[in-house]
Amino acid sequence: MSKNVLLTGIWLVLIGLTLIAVMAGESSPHISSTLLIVILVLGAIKAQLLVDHFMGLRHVSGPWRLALSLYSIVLFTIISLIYLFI
Amino acid sequence: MIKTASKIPLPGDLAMWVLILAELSVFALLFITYAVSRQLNPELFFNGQQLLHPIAGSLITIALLSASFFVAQSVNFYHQVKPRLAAASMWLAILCGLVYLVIKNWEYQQLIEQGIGLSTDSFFTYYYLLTIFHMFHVILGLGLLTYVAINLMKENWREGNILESISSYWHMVDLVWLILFPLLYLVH
Repeated sequence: MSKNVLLTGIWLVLIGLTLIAVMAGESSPHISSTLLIVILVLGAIKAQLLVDHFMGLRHVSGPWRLALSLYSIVLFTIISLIYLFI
Repeated sequence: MIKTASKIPLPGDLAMWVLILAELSVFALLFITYAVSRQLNPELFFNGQQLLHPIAGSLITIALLSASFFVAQSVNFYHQVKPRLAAASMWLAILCGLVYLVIKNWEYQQLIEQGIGLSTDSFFTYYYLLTIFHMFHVILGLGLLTYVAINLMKENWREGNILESISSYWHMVDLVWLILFPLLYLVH
């Protein structure tokens, strides 16, 4: 698969995931804990796709990819814990 | 290009990546503060979120994702030694960034017409501070992308390190929005 095709595919996936998240968020005025997790997990997946393919860190080893990947995962985890337990 | 231990190059300049991590850290603190404040005032934040436009937020997300896509394509075309396509992709990215600015300003105007400002309540203080702070980054990013797009139109411009550094900065701006969007518009 050429890089151009791969990037186009990732772009379409990102837009698709955005639309799914919007539908989940708009499905109810007060979203449930399950939908909260779904929306934040979709956000984390989108962030990882951006880091790997648009930023081009997928095949970069060492601390940089790890730092950028952990950023969204850790942040969404902290936010989920705050929303669920505070 | 910076060589890592396994000889796979890190795109762009190391200084840009340090800046990106610093910027992301600041935004992370703001997001956590927002989340805690929301839990302390759930009703106030809920009422504030109902006044936002989820469609506008969605269109902004699509515009920024599209801008990032065109920036990534531009870098790709540059490495394939296709400068015209690289320049065209960069201009399309700038156009998507401008779409973001138009929608965001429309959204601000709608709120201001309803008398909702920075000091209306703590939700809107966060809303304006977070989105305006992010918008400043977008405006700076658009300036940098324009610089790159103009240079890509020159036949002999071969500054891949600058191109990759500025592209990485732009993707960071997009990454921040991917976290900001669900927090403000979707999780209520």
